[in-house]
Amino acid sequence: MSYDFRSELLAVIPNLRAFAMSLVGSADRADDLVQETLVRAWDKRDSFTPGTNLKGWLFTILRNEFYSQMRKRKREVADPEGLMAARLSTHPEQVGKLDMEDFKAAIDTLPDDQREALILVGASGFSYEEAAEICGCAIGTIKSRVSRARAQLAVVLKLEGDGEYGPDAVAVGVMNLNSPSAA
Amino acid sequence: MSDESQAFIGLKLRELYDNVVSEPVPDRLLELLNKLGAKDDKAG
Repeated sequence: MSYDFRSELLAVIPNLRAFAMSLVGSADRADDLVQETLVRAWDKRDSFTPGTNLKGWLFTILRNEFYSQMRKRKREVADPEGLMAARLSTHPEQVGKLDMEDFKAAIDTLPDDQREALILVGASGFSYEEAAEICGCAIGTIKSRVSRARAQLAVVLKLEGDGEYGPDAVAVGVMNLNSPSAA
Repeated sequence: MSDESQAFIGLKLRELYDNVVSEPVPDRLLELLNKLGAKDDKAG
């Protein structure tokens, strides 16, 4: 039984790493977090009911571990939002050209609770209900965090903006072209 | 928010996430799993 549990853990590791990356932003720290999660999961494996949602169970452990670490030490970057916003705005020539680095930086401007809700629902493939269970909050809370996260991303990425660019700004971003009016 | 913006965000989000998912599991995590199993074998 323990051997099966081990291979089940193995199967979820890629997803745990992706979730951890979205929380801490550095590959090394993400893997530290996954490592700690695996140790904890192993120690309390008797409390897992086989056949139930192992992925959700592990995500819950990882998330709890992350927040308990956060409480222990402040985030290394004191003002990540200001820093990321500054980084984004230092490349005005790239407006309309949304590469993955820009998108990552935009994700990093989100408050932790909104970012994790967005990732869980939008990328990890959890339902609102499962995400609510993982985060220990109401389904409505998750829904509102996800929608606020999307709204902020649209602003930071200038997808819709203030009407200056109009609806074409999105298409320009998708096609990875420089907007003629951007410079 | 327009459907287009929402679809674009969803696409990028998934791409970012799936890039990490598709990476091979780092050795140190594989070693950890093996160690956990060995400990259990000894104990049981």
